[in-house]
Amino acid sequence: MVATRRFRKLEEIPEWEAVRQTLMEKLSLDELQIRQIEAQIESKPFDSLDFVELVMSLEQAFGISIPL
Amino acid sequence: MFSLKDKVAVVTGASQGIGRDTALALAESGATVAVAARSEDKLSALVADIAAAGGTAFAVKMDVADAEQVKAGFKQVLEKFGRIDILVNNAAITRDGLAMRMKADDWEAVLRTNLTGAHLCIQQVLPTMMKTRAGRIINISSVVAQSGNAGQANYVAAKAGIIGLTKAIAIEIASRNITVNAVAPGFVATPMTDVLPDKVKEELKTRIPLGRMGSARDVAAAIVFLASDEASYITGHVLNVNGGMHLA
Repeated sequence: MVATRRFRKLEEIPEWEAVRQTLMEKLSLDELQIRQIEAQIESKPFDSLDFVELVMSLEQAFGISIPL
Repeated sequence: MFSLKDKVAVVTGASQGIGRDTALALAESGATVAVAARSEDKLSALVADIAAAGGTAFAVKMDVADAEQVKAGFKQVLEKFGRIDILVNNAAITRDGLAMRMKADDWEAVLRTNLTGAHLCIQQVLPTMMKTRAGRIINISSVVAQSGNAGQANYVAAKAGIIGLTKAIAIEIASRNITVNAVAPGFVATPMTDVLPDKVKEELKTRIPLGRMGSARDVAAAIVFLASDEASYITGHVLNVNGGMHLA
């Protein structure tokens, strides 16, 4: 993953699926809730560093470990 | 010197030589300094010296070649100070020998400490620097990374690797206002060069246009500059501190 690469959709990031699964399993989120999170993230362009920061924030906020 | 008031710095390989003088100079400029090295005794003496001069320092026993120790060491610093603004990757060893006869252990030990160690430390500071959207990473390379040096294939490879690492990470995290630079000292009077025979030292001096060996303080001054706000638009740079010994 190139740091400066910019994305519009989370599905463009291969690691997103692992994050998605972890959120569903560890936080008991359903598909609708996940889609709401995705829509919020995708509301503006983001790059791979943003994605890493997002994962770090989720880990810290919910005390979970997201294996990437 | 430049002001580093309210900044928290970590210096690896701080027990002697360039690392020690860098820790002292950063503290003089107002930074709180976590000094890291393998030798606890030397670190305690350094912490006492910094405190005696009115500064604040904290000793962290850590071998940068050991990923777990690095993780634990930076955790201690973050628990104590809550942030890290400046990282100086200075820890380095030598295991000299001709390349054709160099033992695999000597090759790997030098690469592990001098190059992988720097990467491990950078990995530990990036999350906190990214959060604060600020940071200074200064990696210590060497003149031999650019000029080469017989009998030091491992050391030269590691120090040249430091330059590549510096440039790659500088680009990777520039958008987070974190700068990454390298300082490449020349022939500097340190415990590492003290062991050279006088004849070799004299011969080396003849290759330095400024006509003298550098001091650890000369290198520390360059590091303080790169750590300061005044260097905020410099990233991915290799700053030579070598008396003109090698002009790159």
